[in-house]
Amino acid sequence: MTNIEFGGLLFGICVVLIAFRMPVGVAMFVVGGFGFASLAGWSAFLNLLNTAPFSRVSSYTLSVLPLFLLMGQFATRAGLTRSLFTAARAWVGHYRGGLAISTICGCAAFGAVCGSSIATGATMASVALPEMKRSGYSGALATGTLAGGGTLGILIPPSIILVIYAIITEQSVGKLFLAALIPGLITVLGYSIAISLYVRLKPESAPVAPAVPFGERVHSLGAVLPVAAIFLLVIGGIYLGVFTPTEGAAVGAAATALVAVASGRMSWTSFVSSLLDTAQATAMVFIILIGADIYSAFLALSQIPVELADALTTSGLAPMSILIGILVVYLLLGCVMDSMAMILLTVPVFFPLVTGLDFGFTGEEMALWFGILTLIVVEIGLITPPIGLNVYIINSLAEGVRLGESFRGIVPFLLSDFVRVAIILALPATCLWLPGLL
Amino acid sequence: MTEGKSWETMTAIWLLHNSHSVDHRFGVSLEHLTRTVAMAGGLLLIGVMAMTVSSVLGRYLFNAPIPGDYEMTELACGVAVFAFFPYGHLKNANIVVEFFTARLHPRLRTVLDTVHSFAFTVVAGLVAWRLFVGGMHKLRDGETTLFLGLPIHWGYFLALLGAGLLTAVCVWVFSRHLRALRQ
Repeated sequence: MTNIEFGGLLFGICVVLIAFRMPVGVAMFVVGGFGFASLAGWSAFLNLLNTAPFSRVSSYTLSVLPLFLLMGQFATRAGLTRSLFTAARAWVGHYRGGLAISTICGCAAFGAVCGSSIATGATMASVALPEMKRSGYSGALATGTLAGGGTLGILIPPSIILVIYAIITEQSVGKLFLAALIPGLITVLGYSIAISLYVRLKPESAPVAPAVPFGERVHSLGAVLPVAAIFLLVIGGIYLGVFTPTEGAAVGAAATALVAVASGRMSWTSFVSSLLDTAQATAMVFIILIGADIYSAFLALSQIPVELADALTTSGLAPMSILIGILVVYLLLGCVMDSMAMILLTVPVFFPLVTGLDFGFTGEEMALWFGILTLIVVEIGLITPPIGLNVYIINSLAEGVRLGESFRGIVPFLLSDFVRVAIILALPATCLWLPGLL
Repeated sequence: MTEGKSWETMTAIWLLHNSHSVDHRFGVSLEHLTRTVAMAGGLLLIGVMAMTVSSVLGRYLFNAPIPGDYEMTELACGVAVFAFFPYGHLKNANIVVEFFTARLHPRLRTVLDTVHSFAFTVVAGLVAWRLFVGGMHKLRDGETTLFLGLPIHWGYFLALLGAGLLTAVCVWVFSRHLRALRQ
């Protein structure tokens, strides 16, 4: 059996184990460990284990993750969601479908202080779902909007998935964050257009709300200020090199904690639960990271990424068709796999391949563009059937909405996503312009 | 795919029926212990946050960063993450894809979960064992961090507490699955 066949076989086994409920991190650990040991011997594997897990969790670059997760928890407890949603509603709530558009804007704003998709969607749901229900929005539109809006949590920086991508590919976190900004705004615009079109086709799904007086609109912006300030401080600071991503995350978490304390919502109980929730989320991420570390040790040993890259670059296929092929693979995998597992399983294989493709970009530009594209298609996996995680979570929070309705409600957002991928494929400048400014 | 709550519900139901048994008391103390350890890790993380913020402020305002802050962050975060694992596993915070198995016979699902919790136990035990061996190597070689000269084996042995507790939690979860299988 050649290395590529062996690697393909193990990849398949890994996917099957994951599909049969094995925790993702454990599956990657077991398969990667088996692969590594069969190539290098069991004693080499045991030696790898002497240092690999602790080095993985005690790396400076990765310490940014628990701190960003902590920041997201504090933001959740600070009650920022309600003020962000209220502000967005004051400005766009009176259009048809305005509450849904407000939800999207609120999600985007919350995504600016929270790096995880599910947290963004679920937190916003607690505020926006009751409002939309009270205003007579259809369950499909309300849950679809939240599931779609949640994906903005990982697209708008800070983003947990982008940090992980940056670490695997050794790219600058700051530049990746900046590269994601315009695609993030395109998403907000695209989702808002999708909502407007949807409610014109189905006017019964979203009644019109009265407009809010101008004075009140301006007043509502006051609540948005702390979020904007924290976002500028953290992302600007990281990008300008004022501090490292880890320092940025620490500063952001501390500032968000201050906002939470100032809002009067930070009791001892909510402090404890934000720490415990951070613990849970961090454990979830790092179990997978340790498993993925073992898996990528096997990949590196097997030379699969290099061989595959060689095979494809000499195959005579056009770079664009290879790139689109990879994105299609992600879309398909996204239907059956968790987003972080996908990034960790495939980026080490695809990345060397992609940087070898000639689009006339530098290696770094290619890495940024590919990173954002990957992030977007992976995030589409969060809302596609059969296992769109976001849709399930939002649906479980919405009483009396059937799962089928939620998946119908997500369709306009999916269509908008495909348009967006096409735009970003056609115009790499959407990702490359901002990071190139300095 | 959900952050599976099924096991938690299962435990809750089981606790209702066995609320006076020794097992129950063991389960409750295990939960208290993991929660305490996770809180300790959380406070360590808060410490890292506070130290990093002071270091950044010190660097820009007084031209005096905290020396060796990166090294402390690395060691502390490593220990904190290991302290989170037992709590995370007990709360079943593992990403599990449930789509393909949701319609399986519950008994078959329990069989799968039993196999997986066994695999998890093996992985956790292996990691804990090698963490001990790795820590002993670092101790023997007297390896320290570059700047502050902190002994690296401290990190390993503190993390070992988390890894050991994780293994204990794994064994407990596995025994629960075994019991569910026998019923």
